[in-house]
Amino acid sequence: MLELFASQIVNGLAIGQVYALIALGFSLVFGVSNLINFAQGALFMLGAFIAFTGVTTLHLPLVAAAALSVAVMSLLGMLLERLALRPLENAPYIAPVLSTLAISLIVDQLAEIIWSPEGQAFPVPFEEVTYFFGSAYITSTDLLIFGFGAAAAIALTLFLSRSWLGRTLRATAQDRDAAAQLGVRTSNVKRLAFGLAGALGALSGILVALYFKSVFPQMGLPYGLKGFAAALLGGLASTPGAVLGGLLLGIVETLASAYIGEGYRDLVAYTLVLVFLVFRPQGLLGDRRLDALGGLGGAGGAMPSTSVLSSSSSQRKATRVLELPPWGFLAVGLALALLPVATQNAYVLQAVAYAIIFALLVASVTLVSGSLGILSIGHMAFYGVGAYAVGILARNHGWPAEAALLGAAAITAIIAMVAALPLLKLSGHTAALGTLAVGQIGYLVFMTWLDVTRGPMGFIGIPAPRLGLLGGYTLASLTQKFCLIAVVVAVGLALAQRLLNSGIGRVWRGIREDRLAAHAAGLPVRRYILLGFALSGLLAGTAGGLFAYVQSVVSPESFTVSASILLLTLAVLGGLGNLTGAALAGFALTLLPELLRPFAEWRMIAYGVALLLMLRLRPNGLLGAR
Amino acid sequence: MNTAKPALLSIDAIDVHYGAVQALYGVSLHVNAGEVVSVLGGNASGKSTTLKSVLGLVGPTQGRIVLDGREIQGRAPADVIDLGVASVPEGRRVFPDMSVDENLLLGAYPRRKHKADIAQDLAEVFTTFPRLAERRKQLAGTLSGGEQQMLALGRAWLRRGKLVCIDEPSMGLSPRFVDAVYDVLFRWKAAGQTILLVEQNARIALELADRAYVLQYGHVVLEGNAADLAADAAVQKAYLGAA
Repeated sequence: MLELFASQIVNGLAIGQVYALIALGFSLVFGVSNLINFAQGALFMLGAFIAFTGVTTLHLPLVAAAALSVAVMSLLGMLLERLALRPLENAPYIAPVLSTLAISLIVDQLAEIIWSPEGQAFPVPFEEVTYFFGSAYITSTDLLIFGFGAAAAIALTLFLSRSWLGRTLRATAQDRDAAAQLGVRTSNVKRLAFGLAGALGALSGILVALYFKSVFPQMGLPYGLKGFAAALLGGLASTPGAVLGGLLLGIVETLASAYIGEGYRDLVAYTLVLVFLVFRPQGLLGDRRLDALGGLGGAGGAMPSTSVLSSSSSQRKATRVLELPPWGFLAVGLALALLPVATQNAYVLQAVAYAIIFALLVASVTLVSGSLGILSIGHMAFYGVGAYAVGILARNHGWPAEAALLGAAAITAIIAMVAALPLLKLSGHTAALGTLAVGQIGYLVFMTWLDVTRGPMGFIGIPAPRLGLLGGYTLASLTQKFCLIAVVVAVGLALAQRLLNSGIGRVWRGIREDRLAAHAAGLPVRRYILLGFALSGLLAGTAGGLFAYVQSVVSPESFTVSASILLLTLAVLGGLGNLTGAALAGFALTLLPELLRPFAEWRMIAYGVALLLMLRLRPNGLLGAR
Repeated sequence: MNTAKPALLSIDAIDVHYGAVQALYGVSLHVNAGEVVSVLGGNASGKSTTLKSVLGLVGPTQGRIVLDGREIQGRAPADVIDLGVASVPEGRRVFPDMSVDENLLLGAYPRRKHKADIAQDLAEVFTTFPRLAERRKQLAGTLSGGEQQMLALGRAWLRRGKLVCIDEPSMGLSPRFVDAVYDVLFRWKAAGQTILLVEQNARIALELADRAYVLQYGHVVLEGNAADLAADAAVQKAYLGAA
């Protein structure tokens, strides 16, 4: 019993060490440029694949392949900084974050094209030895990972605290302008940080490849997110914290998987993140001693700001905002509802129906991420709640469509509000991480709550919408469902736009621009944030419900975090806080891939490049951020 | 008025724009070696911008800045600092999450190869500022505003620059600390340090400076010996609070 426990701890430490290395990459970059580098996962995956190519194609010994991978990834890290971030230095704060996201979309897809989307066995050149202590055991790979990870972490800590380069790295992190005035070449320092992040990514990628003896192009996101979570647990910018956070996460999730069940590994991990966000948002080793002086930024003299739209250059460029009035949505919705008159083609109607649903969904994202300024990386969870709720109400309880949709919207609103509770005191990056945890937990609940959702098998047999008010008239055909969707979405968007134009919308934007000032002006900030989440949940739940009606089958794959990330980028493309922009982006970019089906392989690459270009040319979105 | 020897720093008719807004209009000034020169003016007069263009933090759209015979306008801050300039930035800007020791050490970054000299200068700073010696291991962010200003001065001192640029050292400090800061600056002046000082507190700046320039809306409106300016009726009325 005790031996089993000891083995689990050792296992946890080994995988935790890997998380720690990824987390170190995050912390380094976050420290120097105050940026959450979403491309860290992509660097990690590429590192593993370059070592894989080195071993299999070039027939290098593992050590040489690893060295090659580390070298290439350091260069790529620097290149990432040069191409994706340097040009955005004076752009809104959110732009570089999205830029790294775009890069990771491109890299992930490229890897699938180069190395095929399937996982491949990573040849481990040495015989694995297992050491037994009673019934507890430890493998040589565990030892290797642990030893190597620990050595890398210690070397990095010493480098940061003892060397001139490390000192300038930390100084640049804390106050870039002041460091420049002491003669530090801050852009070189930044490049160095990204180079190191690339090297760490490569190292951790290789270790994971050794641990699982395989590589797959989709490995970037899940491990990237775990590293991210580990960095947060440790205290975002703290180096020893990142290591501690990684180990803690590794041990906790290994124990959860051993004693509760394999499916609960991630659920427990992300719940831990959420608990930390509530009770210790600064992380294990993060520091609040400086909060009395206005936090790190305040003490350093930098302008404190919570707005995702403001930038380090003090002037904000005036952008023209293109928006529909509330009735405009109704007009467009009615026009779309007439589409079946023009075509009865099921394929077209189905595609346009999904596009309309996505318009509503992205609008719900922009409500929270744009107007309220809390970047949401978890909205798919709310969409999923709406979908399952309609499934349960309509199939298990036989509710008519009006009641089921309203019920689903209400349930989602309540859940979104509850999910917002832990986020109330957070802003900026930590709030975004909180929504990420919410999104991940939502997905995992759909996966594991078998009694209700049937897990990965999917919830099947959702009946066609039956209108109780029309005496139980059933919308059986696709055409009829299509009209229902167009009308419901148009009404939802019109009401939402009406709200954004009202005093409530103004208060939301005020909270986004300066939360402290909003508090100081006597606004009940928390109540407004909860209201924002509730209304966003209302829209997302409605969208989910409509989705369930068209699909008649709902399964967790539709509600992943990577889809949530995509939603956020759509909201940004349209212009944050701009409902028209969000609806348009959601609509057009859901439809576009259908048109480009022959180029499906290149779709995400094209999308990533489009996002990069837009961040450069129109950082406030296509129709302008509001 | 120019001496035969060329000035250590001369700014020659620079214009500076922030986007569409022009902040400086043909500003010229010079600082001779061993001199303390002060730039005075009210809010938004362009005095900080003048200093920032010397440090390379903003680039002039017109005109030249010559340091020690080399044109430096438009160069990166690190390049300017490398030529022997030290800076005490506006609002102190110490590194809040690093110890007092490390903050001071970073001041010597451009001459980091000279370990022995640095150790000696560090010891000197600690005798000048016993308060900092007591708090060597403390995080700079936890110091009081006055102590942080002392730290910023000590950090600049470790640069051992030919020219020290100081931006509003009295800002946000209690009168007692303002006096303490200027005690240090008087000592630096006595030691022959060349200083370019930007200051809103005209009375104390004119006591320290050899010469001074007065800026208004981005133009130099007055210049001369500090003592003459202190006696000037217009300066007294506008900046020294005389009736």
